[in-house]
Amino acid sequence: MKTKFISYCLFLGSLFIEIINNYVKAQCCSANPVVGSTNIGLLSKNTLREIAFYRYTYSDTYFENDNKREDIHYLRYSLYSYFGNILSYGISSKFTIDLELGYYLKKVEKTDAGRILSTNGLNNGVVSLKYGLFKTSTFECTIGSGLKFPFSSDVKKIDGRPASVSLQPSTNAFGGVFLLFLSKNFPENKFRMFLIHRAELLNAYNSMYYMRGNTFFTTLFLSKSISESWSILLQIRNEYRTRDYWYDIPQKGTGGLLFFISPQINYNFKGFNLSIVYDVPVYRNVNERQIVSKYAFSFICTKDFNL
Amino acid sequence: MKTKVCLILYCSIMMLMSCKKKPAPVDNSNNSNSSAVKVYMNADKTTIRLGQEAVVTANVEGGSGSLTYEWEVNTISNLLGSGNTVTFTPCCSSVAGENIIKCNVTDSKGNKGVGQITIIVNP
Repeated sequence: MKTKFISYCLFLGSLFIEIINNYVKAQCCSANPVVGSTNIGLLSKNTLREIAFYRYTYSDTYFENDNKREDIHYLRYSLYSYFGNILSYGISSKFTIDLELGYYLKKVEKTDAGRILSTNGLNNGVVSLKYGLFKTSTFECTIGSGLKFPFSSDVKKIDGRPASVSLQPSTNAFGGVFLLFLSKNFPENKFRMFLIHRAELLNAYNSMYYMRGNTFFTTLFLSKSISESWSILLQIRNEYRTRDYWYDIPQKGTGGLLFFISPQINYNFKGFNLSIVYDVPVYRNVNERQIVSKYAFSFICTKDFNL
Repeated sequence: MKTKVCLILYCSIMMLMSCKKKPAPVDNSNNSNSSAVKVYMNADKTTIRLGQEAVVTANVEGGSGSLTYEWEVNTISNLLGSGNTVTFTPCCSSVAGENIIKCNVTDSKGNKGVGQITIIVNP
């Protein structure tokens, strides 16, 4: 009864927020970088999981809708390197709380005029609560939602004036995060597949009156253990972003649809799970013209502690 | 009971979060110069394409003592540099079109003057 009530409340809460979102035509924020098979599913009670990761992304190619445009290079390149940290704690067998923190070590853009612009700083944090709707030894369905929060309302500046939006390490605004996690194990085949859907929406305007578009990530993971210590994964990831808004004006050159295939290899060493992920974009369809990711890679280290 | 209280609190936070900040209108007004400080703007290029940049200079007539320059642009582009010269660097395709650059100049006696110039950015 209690379980049903909680599920009902979470569902209604999510629905309510979704309705509000549609009503006010809210758009949203720069998504927190998502890496590998990281903050997924439920943890056992009193288990603390620490996930540290590093991600590097490089972009030097423009697309106009789904056409590659070799002749456009407003920016010669754009890159970022990012260090992220996710702390998860199993409050009970049904609830897990996550805290995501991240820092852009550098965000760099080189313009066609040869000028290099660079910033760094804290990304938004995310605190989220996950609830296990259904869990057996071979199947799990978990939902969750959370609050994305900025560490500062002040935007990053270059020479005393606000840096452009793409160089901002944080959205400098609050937002919402919604999660769905489905997992199916096939222990006899040492095979597991799971799906993560993450929506980042309901972002508020920041002090520049800029609001990023909603972002929806859907990732299907296919995981196969090849030995006691090694496992391989294949991610098929979809990212869909709606347009950003500035003073209620939809911004050109924002929003789009991306598909990635990301092979991942995991190695378990004395309780530490080490992973490398490489993102290969396979389909890019953006609004107007945008510079899009050429490649990205991540290193992930995960460790569970039983408290 | 505890769970219910937590859920109500949680939903309240999510609802509060959905309250949007009402954006202020963009101020594109032409401010006239005061008689004490006149600001004349010029740029090495008034039409550029994305990826290029324009150097904008504010020349001041009148005013006394040291002058302070405050620059702003009516788009999300970058303005680099300080003093009486800045470099306008358009950031992205959303700023294609007119970019109005303003310079507010204040002298040591508090007299103010404003100049503005429009740079056209072609995609």
